[in-house]
This record gives sequence, C-alpha cells and structure tokens, in this order.
Amino acid sequence: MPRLASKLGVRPAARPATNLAAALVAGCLLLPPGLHAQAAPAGAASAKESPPAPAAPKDFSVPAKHEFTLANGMHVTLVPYGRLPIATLSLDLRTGAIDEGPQQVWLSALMADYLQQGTASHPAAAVAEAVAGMGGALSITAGDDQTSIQGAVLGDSAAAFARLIADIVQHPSFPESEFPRLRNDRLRQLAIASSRPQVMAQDRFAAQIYPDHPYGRVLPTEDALKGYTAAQVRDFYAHNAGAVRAHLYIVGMFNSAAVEQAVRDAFEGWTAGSPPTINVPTVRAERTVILIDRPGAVQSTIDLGLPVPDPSQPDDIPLQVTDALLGGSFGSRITSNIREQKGYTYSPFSTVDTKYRSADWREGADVTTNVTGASLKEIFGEIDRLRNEAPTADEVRAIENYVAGTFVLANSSQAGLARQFGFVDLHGLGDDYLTTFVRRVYAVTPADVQRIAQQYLDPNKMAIVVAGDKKTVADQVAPYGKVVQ
Amino acid sequence: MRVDRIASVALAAGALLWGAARLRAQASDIPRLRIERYVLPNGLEVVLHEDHTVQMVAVSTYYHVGSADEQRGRTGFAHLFEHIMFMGSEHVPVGKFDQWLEAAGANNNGYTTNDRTTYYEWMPSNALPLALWLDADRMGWLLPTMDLPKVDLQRDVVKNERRESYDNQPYGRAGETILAALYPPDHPYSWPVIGSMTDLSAATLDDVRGFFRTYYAPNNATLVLAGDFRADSAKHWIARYFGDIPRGPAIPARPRVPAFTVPRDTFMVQEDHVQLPRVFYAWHSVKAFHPDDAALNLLAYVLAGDKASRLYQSLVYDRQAAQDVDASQDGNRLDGQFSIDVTPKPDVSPARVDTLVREAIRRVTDSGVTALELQRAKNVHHARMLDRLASVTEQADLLNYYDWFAGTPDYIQQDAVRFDHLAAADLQRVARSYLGAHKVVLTVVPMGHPELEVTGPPIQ
Repeated sequence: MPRLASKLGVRPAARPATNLAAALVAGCLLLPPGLHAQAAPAGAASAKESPPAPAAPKDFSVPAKHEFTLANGMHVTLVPYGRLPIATLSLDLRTGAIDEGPQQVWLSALMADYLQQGTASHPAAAVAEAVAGMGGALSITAGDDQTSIQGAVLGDSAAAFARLIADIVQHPSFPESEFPRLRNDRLRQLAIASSRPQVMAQDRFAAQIYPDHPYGRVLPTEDALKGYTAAQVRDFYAHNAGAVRAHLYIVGMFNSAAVEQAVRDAFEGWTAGSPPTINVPTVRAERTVILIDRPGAVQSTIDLGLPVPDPSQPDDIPLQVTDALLGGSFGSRITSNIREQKGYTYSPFSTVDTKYRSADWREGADVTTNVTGASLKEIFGEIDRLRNEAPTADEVRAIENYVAGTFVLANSSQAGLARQFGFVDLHGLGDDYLTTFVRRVYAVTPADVQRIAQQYLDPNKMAIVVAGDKKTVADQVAPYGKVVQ
Repeated sequence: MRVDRIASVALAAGALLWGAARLRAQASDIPRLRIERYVLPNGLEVVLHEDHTVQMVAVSTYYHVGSADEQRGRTGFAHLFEHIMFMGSEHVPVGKFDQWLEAAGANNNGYTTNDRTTYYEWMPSNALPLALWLDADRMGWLLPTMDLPKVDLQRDVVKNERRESYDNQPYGRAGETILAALYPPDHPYSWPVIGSMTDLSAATLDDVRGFFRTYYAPNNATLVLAGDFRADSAKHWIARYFGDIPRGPAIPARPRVPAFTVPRDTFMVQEDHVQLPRVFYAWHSVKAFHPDDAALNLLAYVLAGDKASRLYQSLVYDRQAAQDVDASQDGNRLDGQFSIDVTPKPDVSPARVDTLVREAIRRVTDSGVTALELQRAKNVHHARMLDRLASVTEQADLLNYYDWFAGTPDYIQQDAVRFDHLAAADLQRVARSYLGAHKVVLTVVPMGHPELEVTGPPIQ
C-alpha cells in the first residue's frame, strides 16, 4: 500500500511520469553555486534539533549520445549507459491519436495491437518467444502524438531486438483472422474504462479543453469501434508509418559498432513515408461545471483545469515550478491542504499534461462525497492565494530544488533517459533546452511564480468536472457555475 | 560459488532471422553488491552499498512489522501507522517532512506489506544528511507530537485509500475474499493489509502509541543506503542522528503460521459492479526462498508470463475464450500462494474457461515444460533482475529484502543460483505438488448473475 499510487489514464502519456520536460545531452550540467540554500530553517546547533545544512551539490554529468540519420530519414540515437548488460530500445513513431478522424478514435490503439500479431515471416507466438529468449517483453503503445515500440533486453541481444523491431514495422502481417479478437478486446476495454470515474472525468475534461480535436476524444463510441475493419487499420498504418516519422533510441550496455551496423542494415530499406501530421488544436478556456452522475458513489472524482503553454514556450519551466509548488508534489500547497490537513482525499495531484504544441494544467482528486464542495473551495482558495500574493523566496527556492533534483532522478535509468530524449525530440526543444534546464529552473523568481499563476491559472477560465453522486453533490458544486450534465 | 553453465539448446524459430540470445547462467553477470553491515549499540542494523555510477542515493528503512503482526479485530494498523510516520515528529512540524525533503530535491514514499513496513527516499547525493536526520527524528521522537487529530486525519486518508483502491474498484474486494478462504482464521495472512473499515475506526490514540513503542524501535529496523555516498561520511551521520535513540523493549514473538492444508476445493461467487466475470484461482504454496519458490516463479511465467505462454496461447489465441490471463507465485516471509486469474470473453462462460485452465495445467503436470520454455523464463527473469539492479532505489530495497527474508543482505548471487539450477522436471514436479492440491476458486460476477459461478471438478 503505497502512500500514493499513481493514477492510470486510458492512454499512456508520452510525457515522462515525473512531469519534467527535460532530457540530457553529452556534457555536464553545473548546478549554479549559491543557489542551494536549505529550505529547512536553521535552528539550534544540536544534532537532534535542527536539520543538517546540505553539502554542496555535485556536478551533474550526463551520458554522451551518438546520433545518425539514415538515407530514408529515420533518426537513431545510441546512448551507452550503465554497467549492467541490458539495453532499452524504443522506436518512437510520430503517429497516434493525432492522425485519427472524429470517427476513428482508438484506431491508432488498434494499430498498436495489430502490429503485435506477427510479421510476414513469423507468427505472433514466434515473435513473443524470440523476445522472451532475449530476456525481454515487447510493448507497443499508441499515445496522442507517438506510437512506441519498445522493450528492455539483455545487452548482447540489442542488435537482434533492433532487427526484430525493424521486421515488425516493415513487414507486419496484419492477419485478417486476428482482427475480430483485437476489436472485441478493445470493446471490452471500452466498457470497463467507461465505468471508471477517473476515465469518465478525463473524457469530459479533454473534450472541454480540446473541442473538435483528436486530443479531446478520449473514448470512442461503442458503435464506431464495432465498425472498424482490418482494412481501415492497415490503411491507417500505410498512411502514417514510415522512416521519416521514426526515431530509434537505444540506451544501455551494448556493442555500439555492431548495433549501429545492425540498425543500418535492418532499417535502410524502410519506405520514407509522409512527414508527421501537424494539427495544433484551438483550445477552449472557459468556466464550465460538468457533473457526471454516479448514483451512490462514496467518492467524487474531480478534474479541474485549463489550457496552458506547451513545452516549446518560454514560460514552460516557470510553469513547471509553479505547478510543483501549487499541487504537483507531496509538500505542495493543495496536497498539504486537502490531504495532510483535512484528510479529504488519498490521491490529490496536479500535473501539466503536454501534447504537441499544446498542454493543459489539471488538478485531480478523488474526495469523500460529502466534502466535494469543500474540496473545490480549498483548491480554488489555494489558486487564488498564489495569484494574490507571491510566495516567499524560501518556498520558491525549495520547490526549485525539488524540480531540479527530480530532473536528476528522472535521468538515472535507461528507460528514463530514452523517455527524456524522446520528449525533447518530439517537442523540437533542441540540445540547449537540456543544458540550460537546471539553470532556468533556478532563475525562476517568486514574482515569476505569481505572474504565472495570474497569467495562466485563472479560475474563471477553468473547466470543473465532477463524477459523483449527483443528488448529494449537485448543491455542493452549484456555487461554482452553471452545471451541465 | 561455482555456477554450472547450462547447455545450449535449439534456437527458437525467430532466431534464424533476427539472431537470438544465448542461454546463460543467471549468476554469471549478476554483479556482487559490495556491502558493509554493522549494528549500532541501540540495535539499529545498517547496510551500506556504494555505487558511484549515478549521482544519487537511495535510503531504505525496513521496520520489521506488517499486517501479520496484527490481531483479528485490530486489522489495518500497520498500514495506518505508515501514514502517521509522515505527519511530523518532535523537531519536524506537520507537513515539513515532505517539504524539507522535496526542497532538497528528494522524493519519498512508503508501503506496507504482510511482513514489513518500508520507507524510502531517493535523492541527489547532497541531500543524504537531511534524509537521515528526518528518518532519525521520526524513529526517535515521533511520540511527543503525536495526538488524536493526527491519527484521525490519517484515518480519513486511509479510509479514502480503501474506498479508492478496493471498495470502489472493479474486482477490488476479490483479494481479501480469497485470503479469508485460503488461510485458516488464525493464520496471520488471512486478513488484508489495508484492514477493515470497522477496525480502522476503532483504533485509539493509545493503540497508536503502544504500537510505536513496541515496533518502531531501532532494534526492530534495518537502514540501507545505496548509491553515490562515502561510507565514512554516512557512518558519521548515522551515528550522530540515530545513535541517541534508545533501544526499545524486546520485540514480541513473531507471528506463528499454523501448518495447514486446504481440505477441499472451495468455490465461491461474489457479485460486484463489473462488466465481465473474472475467475480467481488460489493454491497454498510456499514462502519466499523455500526450495520450491523459484520453480513456482518460473512455472507462473511459463503458464502466463508472455504471449507465447501456455494459458495465453490456449485461452486467448487458440480458443479465443479469455480477455487476459495472469499467473503468479507470491512467496511472502511466512507463507505463500500461487494464483491464476482469468477474465473470460463476454460470450464465453466461466465454466468453459475453467475447463481450459484445467486442461492447460494437466498438460504441464502430465508432460512437463519444454527446454525452450524454461530458457525463456530464465532469460526474462535474469533481465528483470539486471534491470532492477540498475536502479539504486531497487538496490536498496533488494538488500533490505534479502536481509529480512533470506537472513543476509548479501544474497543476490545465491538468489540467482537458485534459478540456474532449475531443470524442466522441477517445474513439472512443483506443478504436480502444488497445483494438484486443493484450491480456492472465486468467480466475481456482474450484479445479478450468481449463476456464472465456476463449480467445476477439481484438478487431478
């Protein structure tokens, strides 16, 4: 029973779970001197009574990467890392929900399922057996902007696994016989997801923020899903998969020369295909209260928030610092308030959810039914307080240490590094984004945090979604605006 | 220890095209974790492992108390207490434990199991002294600021956790129903870690104080550091912060596990707000590190570990009878269970699925598993172990786990060797001994459909 378990969404987020838009390049990030004042108060000299002052932070070194591009446009990043003989491979393909039409929701997810049904030369079971023989497991997941084909294998199998991935993406068999099963699985998943309050809330929230856009379509209708055909999925793949949309990351301990050769040989024949779809949504920022009735529910699931700047915008890092201070950490203001002081909820958390060239900020919590209104009051109270009064320098410095420290931690595993590199490449942030990340975190001032809250976190522009027992909570949410069902 | 390499076997089909991994002995490239272990005069056991490959440190503290140490009617206490440990202590005001750690760039969390309560922090190296100081303050000086409002508040948080993760989750109540049926009532694993709402409500401030005095003493804890630090500095800080904490009284006798066998197959049905029925099978198996534990682990992989596994191939691919299937051997410190869960497809009856599950198990008990199946299971297990070892947080947890479960933190090589020595016949043997015994079968069904209960004949 962890003190806080992560919440699961329907679609895997392409963003690192830490919510830190950061990755690393070769070189060294120096934490600026003099910027690490301890947030804990200085007290009496006794070892027992006051927390120790921190030692100076060490320099933060990052692994070197080797990059190359094949003639067909596919990008490859090799990162020798660690000292254990394992390697993580991830082929990130720029397709996903973004390429779905209004009547094609989850078509990319079905494509991901279908890709796992074997290749022209090897049925699905042979693929699964081969991957297990390499010590790994194959995972293919479609997100909003990317589809990832990935796995961690024993290091001496890195070249073999790269060849296997190449076979999958170039020669998927897409057998007709397997399609009804996959579609039925997704229909069942839809039925289960549609009954989960967190998903119900997420679905309405996304539709509110991203109207008439794939990012706003979390769940398909049952009828639409039933109508999908194998031919549609094959067609979707043919249109949206190709070398020019692909970036392969290999992180870990492997023979670089042999792996590079294997990658070149295996992928050079892949068709280039069409460039990625660019479809930036027109977002909606307006106060709306959406109440989803769940008769008898013992908890209300709350999602509230609004569109915010995406990672390519200059305010991205100040926004991350503000989010961490307001609701994105255990010690944050909202979490301290409604969990540690009031006990209203087990799992409150805020996050900046990023898409390509758009993003939203959201606070989510499952609260006891009878304190639904009280929870909204406290959450908005904390947002208003931050807008009305700049935080102290100590509080900001403390949260900057958290954001910078979490950045280091997020980059200390193979999978974490692969995710971070992929994040930076997807958003086109460039290498200097990485090398300046820590410095830019520490450059955020209390006035910046207040400005960010004022500029981007306006409660009057926030959508509020509540999934709960309507007869109990309707009066509680009424003060927050006209309620729509 | 000398490790026998395993003879090479025929390559899998895909190997010809992509090239395959060879089979290797598990222990050969598992690094030995160099450790230093000592005990402070107050009984606190310390394990240090330096690893300078990343610029971070993980701290893991095991208190040797879990839900198995509770009594019936007082369940959920160990876990409630875990929450209270984050509520501040004599020199740490409420809320500052998290805030100060986060202000040093650190992350932290905790969890409770049947056998232990674990607290951990992972951080940039320079935050280590602060983390140790905070952990020491709550070990030594929690009670002076402990009051009823703190207890009441975390009681509410935990009740919300129970609602969110169990009562309000599809299939969320299956686990505790199975425990109650599988284990006899005097077995300390017969109730769930989260506890009952009634018992949580009944916990008093005196209970909390008594629990702390009994179990949260340095002589009932092990502190493990792994990562980028210098042992001499760490020892200095540990002595300074933890050294003054008084030793507690002798720890009460550890819970006793009655010897038992499941006397007959037990079939149960539970209605829940679910879309599809799900069939849960549970067998009494063995505790962690029992001689048969490793074979049962690999058997679980062969049965349902990947898409080429027996149950997946039979139920999901060939017969299209199930949505998904899972199998696991859960060896805890005192006892264990082997589980299989299957979710039938909408138009397939649980009884049909039950027949297929029994057939799949019978094929293993009658004819065993193939050399290739065993190789895949071993290689996957091996890669997962390496993957864990790449993280200092996992290193710290593993060292503490080995220490409490196997009796020494320096056990990683022996753990790997257990798997090296397994032959296909071992998997067949444990399938016969454990899955051939009586079991508990719970069918969770949509409301109003108790007729879907599986009541099939026992496997024999």
